[in-house]
Amino acid sequence: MERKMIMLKVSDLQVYYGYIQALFGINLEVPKGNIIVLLGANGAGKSTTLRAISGLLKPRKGTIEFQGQSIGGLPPHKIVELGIAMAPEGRELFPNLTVRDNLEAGQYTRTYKIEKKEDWERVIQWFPILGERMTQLAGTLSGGEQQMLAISRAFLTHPILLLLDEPSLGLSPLLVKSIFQSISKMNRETGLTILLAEQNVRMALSTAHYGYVLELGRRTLEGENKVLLENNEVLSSYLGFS
Amino acid sequence: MMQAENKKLVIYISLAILLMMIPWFIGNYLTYLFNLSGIYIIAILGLNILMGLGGQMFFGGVALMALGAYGAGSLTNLLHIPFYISIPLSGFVACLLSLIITIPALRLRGLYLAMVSVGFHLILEQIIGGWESFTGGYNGLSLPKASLAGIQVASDRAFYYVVLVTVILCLWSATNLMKMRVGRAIWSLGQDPIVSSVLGVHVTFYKIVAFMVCAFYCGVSGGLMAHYLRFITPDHFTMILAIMLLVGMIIGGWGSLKGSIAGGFFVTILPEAIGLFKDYFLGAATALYDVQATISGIIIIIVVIFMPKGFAEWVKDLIFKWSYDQRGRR
Amino acid sequence: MLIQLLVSGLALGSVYALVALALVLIYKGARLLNLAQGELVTIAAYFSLAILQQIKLPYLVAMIPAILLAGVFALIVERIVIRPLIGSEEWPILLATWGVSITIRGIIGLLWGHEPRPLPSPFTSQHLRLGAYFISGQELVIIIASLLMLLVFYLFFRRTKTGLAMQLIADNHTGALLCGISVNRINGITWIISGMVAAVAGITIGPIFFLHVEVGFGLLLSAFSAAVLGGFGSIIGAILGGYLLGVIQTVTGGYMPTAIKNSVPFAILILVLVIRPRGLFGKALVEKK
Repeated sequence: MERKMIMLKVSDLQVYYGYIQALFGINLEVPKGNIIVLLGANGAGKSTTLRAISGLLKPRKGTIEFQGQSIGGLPPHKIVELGIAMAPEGRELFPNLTVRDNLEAGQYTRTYKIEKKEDWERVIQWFPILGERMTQLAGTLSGGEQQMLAISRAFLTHPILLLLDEPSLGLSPLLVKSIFQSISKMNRETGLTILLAEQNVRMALSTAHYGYVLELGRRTLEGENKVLLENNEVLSSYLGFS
Repeated sequence: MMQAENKKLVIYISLAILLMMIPWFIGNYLTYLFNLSGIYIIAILGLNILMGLGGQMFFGGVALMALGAYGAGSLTNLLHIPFYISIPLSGFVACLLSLIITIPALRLRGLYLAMVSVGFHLILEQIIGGWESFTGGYNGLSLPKASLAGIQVASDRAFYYVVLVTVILCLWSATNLMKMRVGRAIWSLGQDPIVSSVLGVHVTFYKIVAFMVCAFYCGVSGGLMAHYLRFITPDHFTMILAIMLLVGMIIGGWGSLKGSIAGGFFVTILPEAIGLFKDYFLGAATALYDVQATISGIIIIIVVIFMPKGFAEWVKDLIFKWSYDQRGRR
Repeated sequence: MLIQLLVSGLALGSVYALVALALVLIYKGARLLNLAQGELVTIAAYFSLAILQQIKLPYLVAMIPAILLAGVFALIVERIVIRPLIGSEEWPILLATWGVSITIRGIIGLLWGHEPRPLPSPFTSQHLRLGAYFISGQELVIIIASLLMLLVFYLFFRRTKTGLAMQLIADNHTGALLCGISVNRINGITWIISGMVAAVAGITIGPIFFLHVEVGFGLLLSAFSAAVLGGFGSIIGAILGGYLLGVIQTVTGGYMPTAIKNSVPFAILILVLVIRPRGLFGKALVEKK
């Protein structure tokens, strides 16, 4: 892997839910322009890690450095301001507002008209179905459409780093393929750095450059996508399927 | 085993003797405070079961007390029922009347119930105040001296034993209730009603039961108060008392039956403590009431922010943090 | 007679609509029921009383500083009491607002006593002649002032960025956070608006209903009933419910004893909760945790 600037560096991250410890010292690096994936079964700590980076959770110990700046403990809106956006597990859309309103909400912090227009057009290009459903209430969209909307809304905040939490969850294989193709496109066309959490090993590793495997709140394995894919037998024992 | 059993028995008996001797060592005024505390302990007990354990946001405890008090008053005045019957009866009266609120409130969650219960208190206050022919309105209702087989039980000292027995009976019955199936059901209601219903707990039924248990204890508390003070007005059952009961509940520990004891004493002691500074308040007679209101309000805010799990837990946390720091660990 | 009752009903309804709106705003933004809402109304009225008496400004002019003061006061309450409790369960926050309510009442009692006081206004003695009927000037002031306030609010809510943020927060709290909205800041603004809306209600009805320490809670109950009637959680529901309740209460009050008239809000609350919990314009109430 060529030497690139490290955009996000997580060191010894420990996160608790009340008295229960969820992360036991996570270390990872996200180089600029890459797609990095966090793999692991349910409850392994993938979502927790992403939520800590996005500010929804506060770390108990450890540091999260974004472009050299320590962001652990900052409130979520500040982190969005700094350039990190997330499409979370559960999507967290605005169900009673239209697709257009949801997308515009993503641009709440944006002021430059030209930039906003360009981002908007990009999103419609990647997910044309959203363009068709502009006036529909977000709560009535199908699962796949909601996922696309969540990703688009996050993209519209004009981030430098995009966090995607289980984009394939609950979607048909065809849709999953389509979403991952879009993720690839996003990365290729704009150079957007992406950190995603996934259970779908095959899809994720065919899209990402590098992967970390999490198990019960700890990192157990890491490597370039090809290496991990070859390690499939080890992986399947971790992730529980063939 | 026998040794431990004996030890427990000895402790209980000495405690009982100690309790029985108290009125002989402290003056009449302190006995009066003890009696009031006992009355409040019973009400807080009921509220702990419904709110603390059952998780229902019901702010009408004092209204239930009023139902019990006026119920007892009517029973004694109109039907000449002696106090030892009218007090438990007043509990049942409160129970029955509470159904008027309970049935509509059954499907209400959190804040709707809170609001309705507050409204219940307000409306009840209006009804009691307005129905002069029955309740004496704001002029109050008087009760005759309580008597047991011809002997008057009206003095502070004498009534102390009435209160003591009642408190012990209530605490004992409440503790046993919680150990039984009913108690467990109510507890699971407070934890998570959805999970409970999935697990087979008949949520609606036990909600009603929890309300009725609370109403019973609050009614008994009110009846006891009526017979003790022998004169009740709507001013005895104010919103401030309602808040004070809640503060007492929190301080003793939300949901803690034993904590009710601490809570009851707190409710009595605080106004007394404020009253000590009476001479510094110039002006209207209502100033004392307002100071009490202001201080109660501030206390509940402080208690809720800093010690939501109760005074005992708060102290424990402080000690834990202090010892943690002492060891120099970061 | 009926015309006069209707106008009075609309006036009362305006007050209910405003207070219900204030209540629902805070609920939508922060998922909490502000039990001190009634006291925010009364304290605003007392503020204006103080301003009228101390600084001797005319009634309408005195309104403005009173409304601003009320907004600031609401913000102070939010900062001191509500902020520390973010993330707690339902009951501590409920109890905390109740504590605020009682504290304010105590302070009002200490500063102004328990005697009911009239709020002096030049409109109480003026009447508008409509054919054979006389309509109280103050009631017209109430109706007009509330409509103005509602209009201002509508413009703010629909046309400003902050208003948009409030809508987003109400629809999905987490989603709003992820869009870069500072929920804490916006909730503070929500409280300020709540306080100011409540202030208009209090200052306009003060001359008719007299200022008294205990008025707040009854008003809270009525406002809540109005919001439930219209469909709790819906802003339009709160406003329409307010007007409806005001008219119902006043019209029935014209033909029934006062004690019954005062119980109308509570009775309606129970009726609605039993028959149609979602109110007239609300969505079905989901037993959410």
